[in-house]
Amino acid sequence: MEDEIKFLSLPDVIKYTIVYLDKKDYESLHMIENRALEQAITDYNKDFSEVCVMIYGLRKLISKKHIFETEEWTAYQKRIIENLNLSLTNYRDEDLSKFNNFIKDTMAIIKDADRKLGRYVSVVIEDGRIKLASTAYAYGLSAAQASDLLSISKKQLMAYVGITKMPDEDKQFKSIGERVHLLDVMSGVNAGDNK
Amino acid sequence: MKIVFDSGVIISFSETCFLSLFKDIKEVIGEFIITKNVHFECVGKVKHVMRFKLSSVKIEKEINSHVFDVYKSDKQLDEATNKIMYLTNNMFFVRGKPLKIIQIGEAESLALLGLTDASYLAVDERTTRMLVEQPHSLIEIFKRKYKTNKVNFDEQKYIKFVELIGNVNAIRSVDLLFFAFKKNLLSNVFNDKESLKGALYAMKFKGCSVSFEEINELIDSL
Repeated sequence: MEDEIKFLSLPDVIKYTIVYLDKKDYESLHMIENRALEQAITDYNKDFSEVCVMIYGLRKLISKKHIFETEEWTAYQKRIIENLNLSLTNYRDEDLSKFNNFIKDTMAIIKDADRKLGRYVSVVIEDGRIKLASTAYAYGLSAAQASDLLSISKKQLMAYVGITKMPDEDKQFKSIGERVHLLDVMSGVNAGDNK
Repeated sequence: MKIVFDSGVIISFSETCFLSLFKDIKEVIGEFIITKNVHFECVGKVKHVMRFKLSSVKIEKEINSHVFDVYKSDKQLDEATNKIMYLTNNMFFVRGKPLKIIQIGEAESLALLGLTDASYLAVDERTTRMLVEQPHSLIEIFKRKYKTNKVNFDEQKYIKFVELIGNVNAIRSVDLLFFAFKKNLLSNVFNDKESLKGALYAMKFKGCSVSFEEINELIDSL
């Protein structure tokens, strides 16, 4: 069991993101995203969860050769790294709202790159929100808490959870038959209450 | 008998076109109650989103036809909700930190259980259901997911939580659907087990926390 986990601050996460993005290191970006998401869940921290969505979008884009080998991507990446460096400056100046604005701007750049260079209709940032919310749900947050942390609706989350194997991994407490038998008994016992 | 509903079960029924079944189930069971928050989550929050508008219109119709009683917020509910929020979000600790596992909407539904003397919470999502009926299984999930043994559970807070919600059971959309099948309330739609299996699978794919194994076991037993 990995018990001693070093705390990552938001600037640490951004610094690692810049380094791994520059190297187009998809796996390391994924690792940073996972660690940051665990912190977002543990602390219920929306600043962390937004950064996770941003990293998700970045790693998805740099995993596609038809995107990262284009000249357009080079220009996008330059803008993203500039933005991330500016976010760090604002974080150091303790201006968290400006920091968050730079993260939002970075996500807007990612969306634009995805729309112009991607081949799929689905949107990488929105997909990221749903997938990360399902991870937060798997970690034990309630559906409402997990969907709120990643700014999606509970409906979107539950529809996604339904097509994963998550419910199949849990230990069964009572079977459907047992639950319905109890409901049958209880509704019979309490039938007088209804009248 | 009274059942407090979370939004998930209502949405699952709406998405699988079984919403009208609530009226018949209610006639067998008793009272169905929702909080204003659940009403907002099912109707108000999504009625301007085209993707969900139809579902919200259908649910609003059910609520307006008094299948669900909407509990009006009052001081008593607010106080009980705040206590539930504090107890549940300071009950489990991972590496010494309390996990904020539930939101105010869910806390309000839990608080309503105690205030209305309800016997059941109808809930499709895993965490709130486990809080009610098997909190120790949540500890196992936290240990597995966070890859640590440093997970603590505050038993005293759990006891206070149970005192507030009362002796309640949890029921999911798949259970209610099977209940309706057993009571012949679905006979105008289907009455064979293969169709039932399809309906239960549809509920699962809408997010009801149930495994394929559970559904298949039930169908094999019929």
